[in-house]
Amino acid sequence: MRAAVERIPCSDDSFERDAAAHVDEQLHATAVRTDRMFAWLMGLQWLAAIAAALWLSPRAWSGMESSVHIHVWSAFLLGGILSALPIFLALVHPGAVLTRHVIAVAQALWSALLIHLTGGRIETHFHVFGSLAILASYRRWPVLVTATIVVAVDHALRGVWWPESVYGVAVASPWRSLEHAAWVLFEDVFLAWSIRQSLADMQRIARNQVRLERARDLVEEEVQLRTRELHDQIGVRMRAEKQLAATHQQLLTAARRAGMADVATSVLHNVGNVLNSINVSSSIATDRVRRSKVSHLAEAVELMERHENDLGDFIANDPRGRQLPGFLKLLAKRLQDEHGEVLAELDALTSRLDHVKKIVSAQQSHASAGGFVERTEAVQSLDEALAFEASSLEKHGIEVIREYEGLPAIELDRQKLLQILVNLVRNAKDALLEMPSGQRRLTCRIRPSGEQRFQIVVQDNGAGIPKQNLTRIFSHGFTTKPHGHGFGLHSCAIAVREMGGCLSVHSDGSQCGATFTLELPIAAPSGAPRNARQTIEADCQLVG
Amino acid sequence: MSLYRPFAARQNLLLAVWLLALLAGFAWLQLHASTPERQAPAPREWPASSRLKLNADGCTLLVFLHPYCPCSRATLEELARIMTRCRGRLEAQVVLTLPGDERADWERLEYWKAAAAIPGVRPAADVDGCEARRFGARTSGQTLLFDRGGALRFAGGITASRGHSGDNAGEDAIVSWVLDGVADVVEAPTFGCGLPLEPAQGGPARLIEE
Repeated sequence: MRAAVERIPCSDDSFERDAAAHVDEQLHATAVRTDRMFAWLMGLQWLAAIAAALWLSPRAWSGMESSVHIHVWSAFLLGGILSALPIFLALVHPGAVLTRHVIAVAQALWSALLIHLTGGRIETHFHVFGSLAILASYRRWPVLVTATIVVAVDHALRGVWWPESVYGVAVASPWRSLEHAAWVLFEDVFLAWSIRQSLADMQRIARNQVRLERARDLVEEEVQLRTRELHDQIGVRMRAEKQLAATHQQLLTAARRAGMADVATSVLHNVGNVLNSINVSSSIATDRVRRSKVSHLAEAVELMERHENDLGDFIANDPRGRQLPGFLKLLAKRLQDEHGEVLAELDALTSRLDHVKKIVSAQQSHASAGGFVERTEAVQSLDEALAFEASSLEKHGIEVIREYEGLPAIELDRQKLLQILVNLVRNAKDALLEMPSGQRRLTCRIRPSGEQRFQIVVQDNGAGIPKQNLTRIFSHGFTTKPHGHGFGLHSCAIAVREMGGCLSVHSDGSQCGATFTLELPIAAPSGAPRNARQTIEADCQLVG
Repeated sequence: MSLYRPFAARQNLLLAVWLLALLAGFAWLQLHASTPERQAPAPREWPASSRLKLNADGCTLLVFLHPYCPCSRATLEELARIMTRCRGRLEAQVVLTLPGDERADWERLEYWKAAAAIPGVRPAADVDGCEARRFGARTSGQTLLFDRGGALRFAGGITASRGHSGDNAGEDAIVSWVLDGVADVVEAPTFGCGLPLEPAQGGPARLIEE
């Protein structure tokens, strides 16, 4: 900005014209102001003259007869005329050249009148010099010339016709005239010099003012330019933010869909496993029923009906009749066995259907709306997560180790916690699949962390995480799974952040297993959650 | 905006009338101030019948004043200057003239007190104007200078114009005579109000001195 101000041209014609216009404007304002001041002064002088005449010479005497003194009439009439025109011009034409010259004439004549009314007192002569000084308020030396001329003419005329009134003697000495004039000129010279200095100051101030005005114009232009640029930048940024918000919304939708797909996959996977068992049980039961010997019982019954009239003889004498009791005994035993097998299969079927029911129920619970802080148990949530994956864990021969330390009841979003834990357990399970069967071990711990927080640790001895991936594992879209989306851990980290907690990971590298530590407050944090997405990268501790 | 606003012819006429009115007014005022009052001849010698005292050791100055004449204030101021310039070689009496029935408390009059305050000046009250008539004084401010022998050396006013203080021929003449025994002029115009010289009905003429 300083550079801009320094670029202001100060010597061109327009600059000088503007400065001169400022000076003219100031001089005019001064003239108007001074004219109005003199209008008041003229009125005051008139009143003062009348008062002085009434006080000093109210009446003229001739013996014991008296009349109003001529000084009173002079003050009233002559003083009135003297003040009338200057007041009129000052009010009607303030600032005009002629106005101030008329005022100068009137002011000089007021000196003469007052001197006369006060009997030529030396003190009243100070009015002349005071008037010149006041006239200098116009900052125009010509008014001093006018006033001086009036004084000179007054002295000259009275010196010619009434020299005694000026010089006290009938024959005026030229040196006395010069002396009188010299004192007036003495003041005129210094007043003129003062006016010149004042005008020089005004011109200097006017130049500075023009410079400042131009600087202000430059600054305003600069400000307007910057403001426009800023508006443009703000517009661009707002559009970018809108786009970012839309993208974020799309990502959330995609993450939600991916999560739903994950859940659906998981549910279908688990339900499918159980359905296989159900199908096997159903086939076995069907096969048992199909291969049942019940039809032989019907044949025996039909045989007995044919011989119902001689059933005893038939059983006793007929060779086929003699085999019938043994046949029935054998058949009964066989049917009992079949009944037991079918019942066993039906029990298994019922059990697996119940398993399906639990899976569906758990999924319904898992999928229900979250966001509600409720009082719950960390152990219960972790067990639910493990139960959610129980069939898969069992199927793949994963040993689950529970190390729970005592914790008070916690207050948090239970659904959100369950979602996180299911995700961690499922990731651990997937990591363990790369290990040979019989060595797959999943350790789940719950322990306090200070007085107000607790930790849930999900540790596996599975595939582990390479160091280079540790820093990206919570990033959006990062995954090591062939069919993964990279949403799971990212969503978990966001959810943890929203709950006022922190999710950290530790791994010694590939084939060394991984430990995910979820740390949460025992009581839900008060107030609105922070913008978890903005702080997730900084808050999640990545321990290599 | 131009600082000059042209005036119409009507306003120029107004300006001319104004200047002429002022010229006439000041001329009339000056004419009045410079017109002396008519004077009667003063006695060439100190009247023997006067109750005023002649200074046997020096000059005696008599100043006759109207007690209420505003123009005579300047006369007293000039008298003070004369007394100062004469450095004690002059005695002066200010004679205030009034009819006998006007008032009795002379000491409270402004000019009595002003005269009494000037060193070498004694105020006196000339009741009924007997002394004024005796000395031929008809105008307030009339001043007479007598030498120690009672001879009249100056008669006239000691102001340059009516009620106007400042250098004047009368003052210079008196001072010159008192100090040097010579004077260029022996007369000067007197500016002031007419003295009350009509005697009161039945009242005796009196002279009251300080």
